[in-house]
Amino acid sequence: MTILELSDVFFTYDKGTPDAHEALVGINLKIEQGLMTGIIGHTGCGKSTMLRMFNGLLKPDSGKILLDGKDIWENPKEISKVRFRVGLVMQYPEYQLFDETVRADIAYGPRNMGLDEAEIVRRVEAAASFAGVSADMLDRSPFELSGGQKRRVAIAGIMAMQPEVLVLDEPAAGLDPKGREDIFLGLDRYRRESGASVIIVSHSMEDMARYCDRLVVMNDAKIYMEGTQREVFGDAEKLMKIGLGVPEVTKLISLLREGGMPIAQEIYTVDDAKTALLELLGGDSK
Amino acid sequence: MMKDVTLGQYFSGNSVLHRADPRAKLMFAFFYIIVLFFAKSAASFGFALLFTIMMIAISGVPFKSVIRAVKPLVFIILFTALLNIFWTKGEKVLFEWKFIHIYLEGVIFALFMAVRIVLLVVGMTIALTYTTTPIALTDGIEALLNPLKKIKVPVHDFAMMMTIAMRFIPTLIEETDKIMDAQKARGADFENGGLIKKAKSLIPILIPLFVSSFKRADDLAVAMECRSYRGGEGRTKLKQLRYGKCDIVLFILAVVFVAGILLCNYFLPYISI
Repeated sequence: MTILELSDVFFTYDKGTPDAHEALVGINLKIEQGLMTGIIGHTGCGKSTMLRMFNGLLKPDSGKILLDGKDIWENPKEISKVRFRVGLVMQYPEYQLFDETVRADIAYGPRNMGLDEAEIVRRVEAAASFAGVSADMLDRSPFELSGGQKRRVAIAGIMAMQPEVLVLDEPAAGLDPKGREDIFLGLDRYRRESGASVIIVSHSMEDMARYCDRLVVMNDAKIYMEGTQREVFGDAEKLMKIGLGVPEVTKLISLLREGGMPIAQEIYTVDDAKTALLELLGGDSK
Repeated sequence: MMKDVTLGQYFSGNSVLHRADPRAKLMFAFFYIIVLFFAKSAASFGFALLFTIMMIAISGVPFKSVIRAVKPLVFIILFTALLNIFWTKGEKVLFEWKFIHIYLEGVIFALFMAVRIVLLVVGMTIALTYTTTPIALTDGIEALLNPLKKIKVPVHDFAMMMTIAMRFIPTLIEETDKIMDAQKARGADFENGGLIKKAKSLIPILIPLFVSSFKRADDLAVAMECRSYRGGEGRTKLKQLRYGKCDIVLFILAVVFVAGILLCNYFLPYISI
């Protein structure tokens, strides 16, 4: 089922001035419910603009954004309600923390929704657990935390609104491998347990291969490719043409195949590669 | 929304005003302000108005942008004008009601005052901010204040502080935009509600802004020290300031301006204050 749909969306920054810059040109996109969708593309290809369309921070010049089949701009005064249903975590979200305690900061979104106190407490705790914010962190000041911890608090702040669609702009940028993994696993758990759809922008093909069900490739303000991992990574040539690539492990496996190793299926993650190679070498996967 | 703020906005161009030395422009702007206060009669205000319009034409800056620079001051102009209308005493009463007395002199004075403020702002923006890059401007200020170094005023440091402050205005605006978007995504509402509610809704913007500004200042200080910055002593300039032909034009303009105002005051003293 489609939860979010962009239909023929156009957007130009600084329209009508000499600095006018087309950010989105005729975007048609369907986001499936309950899946993790990855968006890939170079800096400046329109990814961040598209994310701001999802929750109504930007209004398209023309075209429609449908949430659950309804145009989100049908009633512009109600746009903040859309923002509760489509949660957007910006790039480097740790800079948006402001409250005295982590708990109060996570509660900012739910409080704006007008929920009652008991529900807020419940949601804050649930979101903290999804995002990997430990209980002892909740009563500290967000400014005492490390970069990775702050990032998790900021993500929890959006999760606490329990959006049906959770959108994240490079949630793992600048984090160490452990931090990346924690964040992605938390998002995966949130998606499975709440049934929400998750949309992620990332530059790491490895992360995309590991966690995403569907991939969208953007180039030059347009959708360049879209489909399952197999459909997108399967056409490595098309990806290379715009300077993107496939995961390193996929390259390795195809080199092995060229060298005569009989690996039939395409491999996109390290775990799959391990299983396939062990099978080939006759060992068991332990 | 924040992008509409025109602060230190530079219009690239190649007019006489653009090419003139920043020191000359600073002196010219200073002189222009002083002379503006000499204006006493309707004719001299008219002359100042014409002169300023001519300056806009020379600079090639679009009229629309000039008007945009004045817009934020409308409130101050109206406020001073009203004060002047109600508080100036004169001879010819136009309107009287209980304790309110409005005199013709007050109205004229208020009008002149409003014109003076508008011209002041327009002249400053045309001579300085619209036609001079912030860097050139601080260079000019530093050069002009150089003699103060003899009495141990840290001129270079002030100039450096100003350069940095101006350099970071666009960054700060961009950052404000980003934080506003982030808080809007969490359901913040900056448009509705009363004054107190609106002021309160600014907290989630201001605190992150302060925190990141302090952090940025810290990073910048470290980066400067890494490049062995140690103040102005022995520092040379990439762009040496030199007076040229354009500065002579500016000098002539200044002479024309002061002469015009004084002559108008003297020979056409109708409706004067």
